[in-house]
Amino acid sequence: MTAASLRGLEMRFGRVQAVAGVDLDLRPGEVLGLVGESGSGKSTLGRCLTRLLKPTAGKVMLGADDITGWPESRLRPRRAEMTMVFQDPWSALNPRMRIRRLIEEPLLLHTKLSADERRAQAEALAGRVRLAPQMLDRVPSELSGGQLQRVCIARAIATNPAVIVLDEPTSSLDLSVRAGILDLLGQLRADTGAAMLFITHDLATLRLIADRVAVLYLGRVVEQGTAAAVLDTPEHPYTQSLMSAHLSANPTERSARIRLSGEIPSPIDRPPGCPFATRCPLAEARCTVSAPALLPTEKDHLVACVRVPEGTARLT
Amino acid sequence: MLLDVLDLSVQFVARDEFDVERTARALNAVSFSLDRGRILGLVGESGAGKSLTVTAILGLLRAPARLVGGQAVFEGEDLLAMPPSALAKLRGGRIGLVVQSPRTALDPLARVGEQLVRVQRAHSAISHREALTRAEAMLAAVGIPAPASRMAAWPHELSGGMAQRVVIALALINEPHLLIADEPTTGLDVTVQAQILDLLTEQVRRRNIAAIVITHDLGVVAQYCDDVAVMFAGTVMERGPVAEVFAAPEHPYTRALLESAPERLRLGTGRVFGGAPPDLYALPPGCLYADRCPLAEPRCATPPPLAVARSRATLCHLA
Repeated sequence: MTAASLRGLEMRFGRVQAVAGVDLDLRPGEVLGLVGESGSGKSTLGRCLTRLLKPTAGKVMLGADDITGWPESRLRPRRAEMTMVFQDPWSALNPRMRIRRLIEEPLLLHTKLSADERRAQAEALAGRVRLAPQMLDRVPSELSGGQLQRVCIARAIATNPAVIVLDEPTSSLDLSVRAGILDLLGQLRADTGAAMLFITHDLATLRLIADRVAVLYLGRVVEQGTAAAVLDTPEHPYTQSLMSAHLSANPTERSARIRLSGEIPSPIDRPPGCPFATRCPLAEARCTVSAPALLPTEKDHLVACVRVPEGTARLT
Repeated sequence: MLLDVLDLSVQFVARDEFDVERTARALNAVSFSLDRGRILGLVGESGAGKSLTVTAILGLLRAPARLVGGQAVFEGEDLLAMPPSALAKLRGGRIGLVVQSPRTALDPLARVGEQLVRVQRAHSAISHREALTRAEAMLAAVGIPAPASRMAAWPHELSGGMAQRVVIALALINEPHLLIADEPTTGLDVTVQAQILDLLTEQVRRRNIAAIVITHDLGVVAQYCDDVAVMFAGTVMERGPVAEVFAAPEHPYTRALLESAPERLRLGTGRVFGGAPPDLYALPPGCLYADRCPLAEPRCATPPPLAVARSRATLCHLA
C-alpha cells in the first residue's frame, strides 16, 4: 500500500519541461529523499505531488484516489492529508499572526475541534516539535529561523497527514539549528507514520534521514533505490559524480574526485536521449538517441543508463 | 608572516527606542595569522563575525560599525592605520576579493573583457591593448572555454559557475598576494562548487599566494583549507591546522560544531546542540560560550585565557 504515488508525471511550463516522466511511490512511515541540483525539477515534482500544480501529463495518486484532475474545491478537504514544509520559514508564515494561531490554523480549517480543544492541541503540537510553550504567544519576528521551522513542521503534522513534502527544510538554517531539525524529523518519522518526501541537494543530510533515495536530473529520475544502495554504491555516472563532489566534513576523507565539466543544461527544448549525455564523460552516440529506461540492477535499486547493465558505467 | 591580525575589535553603536546609546561588541580581539601558500578557513554560523572581520581588515567598515582597536599587518604595513587612499590601492591590487554572489560583483552594464581591463588600468599604467591580452589569458587560466569570444559576453549571459570564474579572474588579474573569498560557492550546485574550489585552491598553490576562505560549510574547510579559525559571537574560539583541529577539537564550541556536521551527527540521541548566539549588546564578561557550554564551570564567568600550544590556540579555561 502506498501513501501516494506518481505515474509518468510530466510538467511543462510553455517550452520548459521541468518534469519529464517520473514514477515514484511514497510508502507510509518512510522517508524518500529526492536529490538534485537547481533546475532538476525537484521542487516542481513536490508541488505536483501535493497538487499545488496540475501536471500536464501523468497521474498523481493519493492513497487509492487519482487526484490528478481534481478541481480545488474537491482537493481542499483532502489537503489535510498532504502537507508541505518549505525552505524559508520566514516567508511561509503570516508575520502578523501569533504562533498559537498559526499552529491552530490547520485544525480550524480541517477539524471540528472546539476552541478549547484546538488550544490544547496546539500546545501538544508545540511540545512535539520541541518548541517552548512561551513561544506560542509571540509573533514570527520574535522567533529564530530554527524555531520558525519548528512552527512550520507543527502545522504540517497537525492534521495527521499521510504525506508530508519537505522542500529543502534545513537548507537556510545554520548547522547547529539544522541538526536539531533533522533530529526532530527523524523522531516524527517514527511517531507519525506519514510518508515523507525530503527534497534536498545535500547528500550528507539524505544519508541521515532517508530510507530510500531518488536522484533527479533535468526532470528525470536517473537512479533510485534504498539509501544504502544509492549513496554507498551509486551506479549512474551522474550519481557517482554527485557523490564524488560532496565535500566531507572529515579532512581524512580526501578522495580523488570525479570532476564534471559544465553545468546542468536548460530544460527548454531539451535534447532527446539521456538527460545527462551532454556532461557525461562516458556518453556515446546511442546515448543521444533515446532516453534510457529505469531498470533494476539489483533488488531495490534502479538505474537509467545503457552502460550499467553492460558493467561499463564506472567513472574513475 | 604575510598577514597578522591582532586583537581586532569592532563595535556597533545604536540608539534604542528611548534614545539610549547601546554598544554591540561585534568583534572581540580577533587574532589570526597567515603565511604565503596557506589557505585559512574562517568558519562560523551566521552572525559570528566572519564577513565583518574581512570588512574591517579591508577598511570598508561603515557607520554604525566602528573600529575600536587592533592591528592587521599585511606585508609589514598595518592596514588599519593606513590612509584610505593607500588602502584603496591595495584592494583589487595586492589583495584580491571574491564575493558570494557573482551576480552583484559584476557590473551588469559592462562586457566581461572591459571589466577585466578596467580593474587592471585602475591599478597600473598598462596599455589598453596589453590589458586586453592579459584579460583573455586570465579567462583561459580560470577555465573559461573560448575566452576570446567570452571577452565580449555580458554578465547576464553567463551561468552561475561561469560568472564566478569571471569574478575569480577579476580578483587574480592584478596578481594579488592575498585572496579573500567570502562564501565563494554558496548558492552554486555541488558539482559546480567543486569546480570553483578546485580552481581557487589551484591558483593559490600555483601562484604561491595566501587565501582566506569565509564559509559556514565544514566540508569546504575540511577539503580545501590548511588552517582554520572558528568564530563565535565575534570571537575566534579556536585556531590551528585543519587536520589537528578537526581530529581533536579543544574548544567545546568547535567540538559541538563538528558534531553537528551531517557526517558526524547521530540522530535520536537527544544530544543536539543549539540555542541562540549571545546578544552582542549584552555580552557577558567571561567566556561568550559559557551559557551554552555543557562543560561550563564557575570560573567560566571570568575572561578565558588563550591557551597557545605550537600552532594551535584555544580561548578556553579548560584547554
